[in-house]
Amino acid sequence: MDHLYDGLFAAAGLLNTLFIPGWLLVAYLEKLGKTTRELYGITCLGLSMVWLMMNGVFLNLLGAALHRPLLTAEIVIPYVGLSNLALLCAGRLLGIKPEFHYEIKRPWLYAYGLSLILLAAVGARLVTHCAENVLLLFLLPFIAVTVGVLAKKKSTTAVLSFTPSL
Amino acid sequence: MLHRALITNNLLGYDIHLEYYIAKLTMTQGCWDPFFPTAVNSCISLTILPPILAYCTKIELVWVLKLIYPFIFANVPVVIFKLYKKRLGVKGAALASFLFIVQFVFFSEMLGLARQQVAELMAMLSLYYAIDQYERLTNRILGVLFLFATALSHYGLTLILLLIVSLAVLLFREARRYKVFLLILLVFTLAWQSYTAGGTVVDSVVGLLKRSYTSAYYDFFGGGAREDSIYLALGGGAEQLSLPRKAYWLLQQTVQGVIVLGFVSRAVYFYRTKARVPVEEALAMTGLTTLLFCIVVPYFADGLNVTRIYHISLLFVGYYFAVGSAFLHKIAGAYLRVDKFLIARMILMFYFFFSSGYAYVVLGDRPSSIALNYQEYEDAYYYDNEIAAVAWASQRQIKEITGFTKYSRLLLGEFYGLEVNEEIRGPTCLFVRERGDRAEIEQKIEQKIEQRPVIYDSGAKIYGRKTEEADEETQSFDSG
Repeated sequence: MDHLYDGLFAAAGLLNTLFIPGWLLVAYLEKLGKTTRELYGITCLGLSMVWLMMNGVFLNLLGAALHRPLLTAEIVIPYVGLSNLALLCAGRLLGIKPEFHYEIKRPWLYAYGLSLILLAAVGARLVTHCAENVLLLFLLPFIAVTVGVLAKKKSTTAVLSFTPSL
Repeated sequence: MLHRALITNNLLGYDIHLEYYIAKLTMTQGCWDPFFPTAVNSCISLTILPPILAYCTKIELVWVLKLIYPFIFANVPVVIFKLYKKRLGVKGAALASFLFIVQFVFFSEMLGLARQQVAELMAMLSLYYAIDQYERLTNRILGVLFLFATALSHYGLTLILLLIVSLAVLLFREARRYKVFLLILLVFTLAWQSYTAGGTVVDSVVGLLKRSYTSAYYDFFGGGAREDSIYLALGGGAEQLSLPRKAYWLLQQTVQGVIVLGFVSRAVYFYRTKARVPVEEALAMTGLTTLLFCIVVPYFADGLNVTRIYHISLLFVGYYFAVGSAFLHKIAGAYLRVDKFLIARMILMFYFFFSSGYAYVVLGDRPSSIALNYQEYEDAYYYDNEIAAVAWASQRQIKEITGFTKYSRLLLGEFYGLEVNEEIRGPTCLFVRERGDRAEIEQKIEQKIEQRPVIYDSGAKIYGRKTEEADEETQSFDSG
């Protein structure tokens, strides 16, 4: 059960750090004009990292001003969640509605690809050598997309509906 | 990448151990010290990003570097593909990005360079948004944002990018509209690198330029002024290679030949038609020039390995591989009624077979991949008890310590950073690994070990200080 909790925490953490900030920032940018949609997912990833780095530097500066170490787990975990929430709320106040532009056209292909990754992970003796939560990290999107495949049509909705449950 | 990263629970590579130390330092102190004087410390992609990811996912820092960073880096070929798709078509762009993937550096050396993994994605995203529909305001904003992130992520890549882009802006009219980007990158990089990490990056760049300049007269034809791999790439020393390695060398030469052919064919085309060089090609041409610098300018490739410079230049130069392949097909098209890129794809398939090290295992040659035969590369493969030994020494606050070989010192770097002694002096403790160092130790410094008490033994050993005071300290360790 602990491992399941760790896996869920890791998956939610990855979403909170490497996807959601970029996803919201792209929505902000689209208020200024249309962006290129071709690299939507990777742009979200890149922007999320830029956001994290900027916030990290801000926390570091704030910590230096307050003479307190702020880059600790106790501060960073709620800070990241709250900053995402602030981005979302500020956006809604400005009339920005983030949408999910990434349409999964061939969900079976994703399921196949993810299952290959899963097999590779198992093949690399992850089960015996690594923490189980890492394995779960691979397993969760696999389950999500499989749900999407089973739903056949609304795969995107399935993935998205899985996300908040995390 | 995973086939290599997942063979052990511990870190693999050279720089990654110091990178881990720097990221860990932020976690243990709860803040980042921008003045800590090592170049790696100027990379936000190490000092800030991994701790945040580790906190928010509760994944250990080692696994953030081994698993999440390669996932980020794996997106780079996709960006390369999208960047070149408009000019080369789907198959040509796929070929250019596949050439980037099949390089040994992509799936091996890069795993040990976490900062460069992030920086390459940022740099390619920046170029993609700068080149693709530049007139859109949002694209320009994204381009500048990712440009800043590149400068913050890795100094080496930023400097090479500066060189490539500035040459493109100087030489090609179409690239001139990016002079603002260039200025932003230049000013921001200089400012950032001057004020962080004690200016060590600026120091080393100035040192490198000075060395290249002063040695241009004396070492231009000198043997020691360039890396061995440059001579090998130019054809020197290939006769000493075994048959499978010679085959790999030939494949490398073929790939380079196709790239040069692509470049020449396009250069002739632009010369004849007087057409303007598009930005993608301008970057590819200046990328090739960077490789030329490695050959011509003494010590130019010293800062980074030439393999890494080749890897970075392939972000741009891969374009000419696809162009060269298409040109070859155009010449031989009358005789070969096959797909335009089929031969190039076949070459890359064989290339991958060799670069991954699989061919050497199959053909019975000395293996080259730690993932396929880690017993042959025990030096670079760390076992849990070896990590435990170093962690023990670190927890006991043993200040002066060294490892007997380079690889044991690398491991010590994970816990001690730059404070690892280079020499085995009297008061210095000695860390001896269970496997990698043992044979060498027994042959070479048996007498030195005899003079030192063993203070930790789990297979991997730590030998105490040589002085009399150390004996008392050792006894207190044993009792404590």
